[in-house]
Amino acid sequence: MSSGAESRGEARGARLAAEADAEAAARRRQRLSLLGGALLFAAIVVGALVLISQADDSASDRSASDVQALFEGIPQDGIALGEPDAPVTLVEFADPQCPFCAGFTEDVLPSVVEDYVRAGELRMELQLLTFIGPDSATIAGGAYAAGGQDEVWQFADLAFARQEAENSGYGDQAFVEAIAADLDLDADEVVSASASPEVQDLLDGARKLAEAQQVSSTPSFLIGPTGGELTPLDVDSTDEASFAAAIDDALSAAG
Amino acid sequence: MSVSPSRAPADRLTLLVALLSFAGLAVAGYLTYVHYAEIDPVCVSGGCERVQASDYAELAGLPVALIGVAGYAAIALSLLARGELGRTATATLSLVGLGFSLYLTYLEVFVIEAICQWCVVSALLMGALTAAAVTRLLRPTAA
Repeated sequence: MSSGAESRGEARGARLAAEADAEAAARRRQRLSLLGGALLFAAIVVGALVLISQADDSASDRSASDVQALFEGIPQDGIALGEPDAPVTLVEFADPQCPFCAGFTEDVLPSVVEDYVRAGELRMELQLLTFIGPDSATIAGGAYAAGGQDEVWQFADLAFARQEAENSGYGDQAFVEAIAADLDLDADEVVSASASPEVQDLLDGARKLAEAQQVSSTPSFLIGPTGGELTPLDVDSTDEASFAAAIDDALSAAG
Repeated sequence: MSVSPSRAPADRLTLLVALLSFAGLAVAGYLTYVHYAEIDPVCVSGGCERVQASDYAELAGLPVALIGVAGYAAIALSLLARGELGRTATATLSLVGLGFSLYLTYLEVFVIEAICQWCVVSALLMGALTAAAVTRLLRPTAA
């Protein structure tokens, strides 16, 4: 008797357990399909974000003739721009691939050149650093090679205007040749000079000066009396007004 | 039936997801502040500035850090939604966050070639968050 009741109880228990198992399995399947849907949805959203990120092209619309017009008639000697006896010198450290450097060149440099360099009050030096990647060295080499034709600044300016995503491989030999050609430079000469010891010396010099001044990011600036001691200029590189104020200060300090 | 023992771990997971999303919110909030204040983040890896200054620091004009703030906030808010749908929403949001974090980490390592430890911390938080949120979805309470 008691054993029969026990076995009936067991059978009922087993049946309930089987039902519970089936229910649990169904729920598990349902949750797995929810996870599958979540994964699919997430993949689509992330894919869209990646596409937006890759398509984000911040190239400037400045042309070679805009760049030529900005520097037209201003003396250049190697990496230096402006009258050699201008009372104040502003040194710019820039990596050709650095987006903030391109931003400075686009937003602030034109007014500095027009208001101070053209007026003979300021001379600038362009110290090109190449820490971002190999493309930086190719472009910087091209810019310094353009110094043989006194167009370092035009070259760098146009290279910034055509800047693409960092280390995407855009800054190759063809990029250098196209800029040289669009600036009416002798492109063959630029290409051959970019591998010259003179250009290498300029790049080494920029790197050593940056190390000595503990420049750890670009763009960075030094300012001071021409031929005198230059000190780091800590300003917002996107703000015209703070640059103008800093140059005015340096001018009044230089007498 | 034994409701309470199986509910406890899920509640712990909810708490874990909440804590992780608050931590992520703090990191992304700090980076957003740094972005708008145009100051350099406190950095031990040396690469933060380069990462923050790179082209990829913004997506369609929005700083990536701000997108992170929105993401972590959305995950925290999704915890308020109850039931299986709520848990699925949390898991989905954290999977999106993880996928985007992985893409950003790929950019750091292979494209920008600089590491920002804040971003790494955020990616790790997002990884833990996703693990917790997915576990929470697959092992829910017997409610």
